[in-house]
Order: sequence, then structure tokens, then C-alpha cells
Amino acid sequence: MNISIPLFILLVPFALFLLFYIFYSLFNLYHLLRYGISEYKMFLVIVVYMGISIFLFGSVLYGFQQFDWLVSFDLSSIFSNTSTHLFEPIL
Amino acid sequence: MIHPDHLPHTQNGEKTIFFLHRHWHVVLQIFLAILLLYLIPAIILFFFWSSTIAPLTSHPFLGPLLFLVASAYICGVWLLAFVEFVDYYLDVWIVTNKRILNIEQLGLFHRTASELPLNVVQDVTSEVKGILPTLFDFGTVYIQTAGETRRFVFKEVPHPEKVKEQIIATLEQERVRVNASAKSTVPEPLHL
Repeated sequence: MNISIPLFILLVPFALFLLFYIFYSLFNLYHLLRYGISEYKMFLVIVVYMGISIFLFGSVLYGFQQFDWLVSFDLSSIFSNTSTHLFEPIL
Repeated sequence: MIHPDHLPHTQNGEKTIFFLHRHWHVVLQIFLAILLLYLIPAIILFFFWSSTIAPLTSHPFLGPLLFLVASAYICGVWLLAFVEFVDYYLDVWIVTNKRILNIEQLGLFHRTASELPLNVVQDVTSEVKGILPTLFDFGTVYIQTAGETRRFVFKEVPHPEKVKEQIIATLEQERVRVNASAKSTVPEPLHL
């Protein structure tokens, strides 16, 4: 019996992780803004963190475009196409 | 947000002496840990790229899977760095000429804030223990009241000896001021 898995199913746990990332970041930003000391260092950290987070998200979105997420795969074909010797070059 | 010049429940004539965070070596430790978490996989990828990883990236299923795992790892480490920094930054000790505030972030939704009037402080002790604390001048300051239990502990603060001296000097100034104002309010004895 062949079980077919659509590739976009992998995006579901990744999307959950991104949601967790966003909410956890917002919680931390909330704590910084509410309880932090009003000084330029704190705002600098917030700007740097958000800037790099946006850069990472943009890079991930750009990387998404390299793959076709609508294709489906048989479970058996996934493991038959890979080498069983991890540290040897594939001939 | 705590404004340095406008603390909560500011008293008359109250001035902030200093804000204290933990020593910068804590931030350095966080930075080095994050650097290692990024460098070690990068080095592994570098050595095994052509033999093992590159063929997997061209696989139509494992390639996207590897991409998602790598992306989650990179984002997760960055988030961890931010969380650790927030935990460091929100631990703060504030000393004014009237009171000492001890604010510690113990977790994301766990925060303790304590306040101690300066006039009940009985003893201030500084401790520098270890090679790195001695070289970089950071340590612990213990604030003791008349009670049996130690009240406040300033952990890993920079220049603990100077902090101790400043607190004691502030305490002395405050006691002199209180004594002076007490004498001025005491009525003169009647001469009969």
C-alpha cells in the first residue's frame, strides 16, 4: 500500500513554529516596553531584533519560492532515492 | 516603562543614585553561546556539504524538509538570544537617596519587585569571588536589614565595592539629614 504525502504538509508545523516565534517575541517586547528602563540601549535592541527577524522571515519566504510545495510523494519512494551511506559520496 | 528620573511612588526630595544591571560578561556569555550555536552547524555543513548535504538538497522531498529544519533552527536560536537578553535586561537594582528597589525577572511571566527604605539598612557587604570577577571587577552586594534574613542581593553587578561605598555614603547622608531635621523640629526646653 502506497501512502502519498503532499509536500505542503511540512509547512503546517513550520507555520506553527512561526506563530510561536511571533507570539513569544511579542511577549518579550511587551515586557521590555512595560518594565524596561527608558534609555536608548533598550530601543536599539528592539530595533536590531525586529530588523533581523524581518530579514530572517524575508529570507525564509524567498527560500520557499525555490520549491514546488504542491507535489505529492509516496513514502516508499522518499527513502529509496536516498543513499544508505550518509558519509559517502553519491555516485 | 521605568523612567530614570520618574520612579514609581517617588517621594519628596528623592533622587536616583544609580541603576544597576548585571555585569556585561552576562551579555558576552549569551553572545558566545549564540555564536557557537550558529558556528557548529555551519562548520559541520561546510565539511559534509559536497559529500552528504548537497545531494539531499536536490531531493524533491528531503530538500524542502532540510530547508524548513534549517530555517526553524536559525530563527529559534535568534529568538533564544532575545529571550536571554530580556531576562538579563529586566533584572535591575535601583538605589535612590530614600530606598532600594530590587526588580528581578524570573521568567517570562514571573517578576518580583521589592522595595527597602534606606533607613532600615544595617549592613552592606560586597563580595568578589573568582578569577573572572576579580579581573573584570564584578561581584555580589548583600544588603542586610535588622532582621535575621538577608533582604537584597545584587548579583553579578559591576564594581561591587564602589556600589557598597556609595550605598553606605548615601545612608550616612540620609541619616545626617534626618537627624538635622529632627533637631530642628524639637521644641526648645522651657527655662523656668
